[in-house]
Amino acid sequence: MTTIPYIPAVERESDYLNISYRVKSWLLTVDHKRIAILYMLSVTFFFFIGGAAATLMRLELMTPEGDLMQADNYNKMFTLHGVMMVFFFLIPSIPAVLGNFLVPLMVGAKDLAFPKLNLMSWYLFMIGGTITTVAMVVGGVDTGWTFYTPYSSVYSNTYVVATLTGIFINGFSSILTGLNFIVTIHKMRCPGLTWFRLPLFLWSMYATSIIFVLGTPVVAIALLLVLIERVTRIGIFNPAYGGDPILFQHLFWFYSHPAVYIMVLPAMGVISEIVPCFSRKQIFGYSFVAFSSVAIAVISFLVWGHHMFVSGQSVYAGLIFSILSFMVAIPSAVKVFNWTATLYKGHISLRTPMLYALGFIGLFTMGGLTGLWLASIAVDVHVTDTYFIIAHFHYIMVGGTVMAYLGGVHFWWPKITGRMYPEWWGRFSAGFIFFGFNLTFFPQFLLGYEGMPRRYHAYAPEFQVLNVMSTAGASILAVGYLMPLLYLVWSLKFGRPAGPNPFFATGLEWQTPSPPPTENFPQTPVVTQEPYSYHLMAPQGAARAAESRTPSEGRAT
Amino acid sequence: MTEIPAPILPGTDPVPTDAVQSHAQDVHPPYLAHHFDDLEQQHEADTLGMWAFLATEILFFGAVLTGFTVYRLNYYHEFQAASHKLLEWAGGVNTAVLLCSSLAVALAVRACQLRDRVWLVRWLLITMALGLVFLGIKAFEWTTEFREHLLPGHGFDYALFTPRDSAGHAAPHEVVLPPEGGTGGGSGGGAAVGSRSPQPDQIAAEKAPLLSPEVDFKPERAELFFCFYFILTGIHATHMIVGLGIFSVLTYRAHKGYYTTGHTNPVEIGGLYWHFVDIVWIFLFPLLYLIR
Repeated sequence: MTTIPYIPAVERESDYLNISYRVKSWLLTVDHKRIAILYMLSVTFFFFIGGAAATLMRLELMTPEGDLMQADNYNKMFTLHGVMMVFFFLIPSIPAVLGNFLVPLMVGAKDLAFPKLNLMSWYLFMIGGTITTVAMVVGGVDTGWTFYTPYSSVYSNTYVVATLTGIFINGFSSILTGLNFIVTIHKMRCPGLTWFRLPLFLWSMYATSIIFVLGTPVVAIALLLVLIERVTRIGIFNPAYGGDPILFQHLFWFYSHPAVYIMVLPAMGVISEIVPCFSRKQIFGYSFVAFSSVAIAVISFLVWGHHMFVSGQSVYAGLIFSILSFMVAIPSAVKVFNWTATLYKGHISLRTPMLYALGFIGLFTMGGLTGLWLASIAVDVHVTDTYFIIAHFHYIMVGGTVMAYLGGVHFWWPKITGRMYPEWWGRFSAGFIFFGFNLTFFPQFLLGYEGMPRRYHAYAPEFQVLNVMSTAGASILAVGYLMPLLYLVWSLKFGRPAGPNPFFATGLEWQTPSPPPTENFPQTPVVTQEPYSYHLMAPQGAARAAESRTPSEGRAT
Repeated sequence: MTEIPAPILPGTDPVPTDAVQSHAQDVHPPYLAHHFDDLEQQHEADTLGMWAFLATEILFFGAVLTGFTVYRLNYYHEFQAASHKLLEWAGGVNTAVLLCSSLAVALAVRACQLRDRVWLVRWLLITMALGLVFLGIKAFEWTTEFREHLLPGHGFDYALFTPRDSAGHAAPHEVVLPPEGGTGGGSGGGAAVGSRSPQPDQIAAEKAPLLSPEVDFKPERAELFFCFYFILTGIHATHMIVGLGIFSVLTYRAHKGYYTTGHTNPVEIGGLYWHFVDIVWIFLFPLLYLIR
């Protein structure tokens, strides 16, 4: 049998994007990379809906009087903002976008363990998101994203049933995604990829998936019970019929506290990938960072009562939750220390992803430290239901997760699209967002401490100055978020074509062309090295890192 | 020139319907999904996936059972009285039916592993038949409870659970409906923890149960029991129906011979799901029916 040399007929190899341009090939795809793109479009859409609500809220809060909208409508606004941002943006963002795209690539597999389940996950997400969006548009819900009973289950006259239906369906999307990741990471690692050679992003995704799988069913039930109580006239949570409203809070927060770790763990995973790459240094304390992800996932299930210090649980229970909440901060701090030690004496380059990562480290630390304040019961009693709480969680969710999401999108943009983003626009936007974020949310710490309550559309006049600062910051933040949307779309057509590894990073995902072919790797890779082996690379020595991982690839870029 | 293997074009099925393809000289059966390296990996991944899914189901039922337990501990007497109203014999028969169906599933898996198509289909059909028997008895129970006005909501018969004095006169009991903007007149949660309330037929007629702490028996708490009863058995029945759907697909494909060529995975995993639904019932039966 003679060997016929393979001469490609076309200049551009087939990758997962150009393999087919038909709409059906996108809507019925089982390719994890395409599903990740579908998720990216959907979460961006929901992000802007939630952002629109936030804009209206901040406009209202420019003046102490309730002049832009009535109280009921303001309640609907913050509920819309919370529901959209929490359930349809923050929880799916990094896991469903970056996780879906990268998990198979990083383990060296052709796809996730259950590709069709992955597609169903996206459809469930879209169905749930559509139902909830429609409910919000036709009249909205005014219970707050926390749906406390008995207001949500008995007294509210808004579209609670429709909203809860949408969120319930969305929950199954999360569960299936988490299930997929767990099985993929357990069973589909390529030869040589032992657990302690996994990139830390995968450790984070694994821990996040544990929370998805164990926590989401509980909130599904909690919301289902509220739905049932609303539809029938029974008193599961209604004190008039012997029900206990605090039971709802327990069931709700049992998920919703781990949910915030669903939001932040993947973000930490992204940072653990970016920081070593742009410090040209191996991560400090790999196993500590890996174990801390799992520790966060485990301990996060034990601290839900810190949302209920003033709800009527016993002081004894409050004490236990307080000490456990202090303990859950320890693994997070371990990570921050390890990232800092990685930066120390590293060869730091301030590319766009690195700017987002450094911003994350600073802002997450501030959010986390204020969380310790809140874990102290005495302080919490003073600031609960004030803007202090709002500032605390926005520092983590926006200053943390959103910035990590943007950093990750920029870092892996060349891999996803085959194009580079414009570097100076990227850096400028990162700085712009950082400045806008701090101007928006730092005044809110002061407002909360001085006593301005949350979820109020009108407030005492002495709070106006700080509120105006916050609104000004919000407008800057809005412009800051718009810029990546514009230049990233621009880069799809006009960006510089990227090679397989423009940042000379370690990791299997960089050993395949950009954008990857549908089957990810021409041949199954074999891993022989520790992760983050930047110390073995010559400066910008991508070739050496490539050679030690896979057999020489035949595809040029 | 280096020889590059032909790329696998996605969208096409590279595996012909014959079992063997000379792709890296592996045996490449048609039921090996393209993203798995070999059958063993596929088997392990599918099994782990089903166990992970069952873990989510445990948390799902666990959440409802947590709520149930909280109220069971606080409203012990009302729940006991309500539990008496359930048809114990029906629950017991259903338990036996489900246990037998689990046996049938286990035998079906064994037949599958022994490549016995005839008995595989038979045991699967027996499993489904027993499942239908379970649902039938459940439907009978529910219609009985509906007729006896035990369905929570508008039709609930509070008189069944209203304390009576020794002369048999019912204590006038007000069910305070929630007004427009205020709170109801109930005593809230947990007032009866640990207190020994006398049995319903020993309670003297009382105008306002709130005033007397030792008389703390409220019919709406019994209604709460039925609320949890219907939710729990309803969610369980939903899982049974889904299981029946899965098994009908499995039975059809087993009849076609898909699972007697060495591909035992779907039957094993379906069996796992069925066993789980059975175990949930084993928990529900004593918790709901056997409160004494």
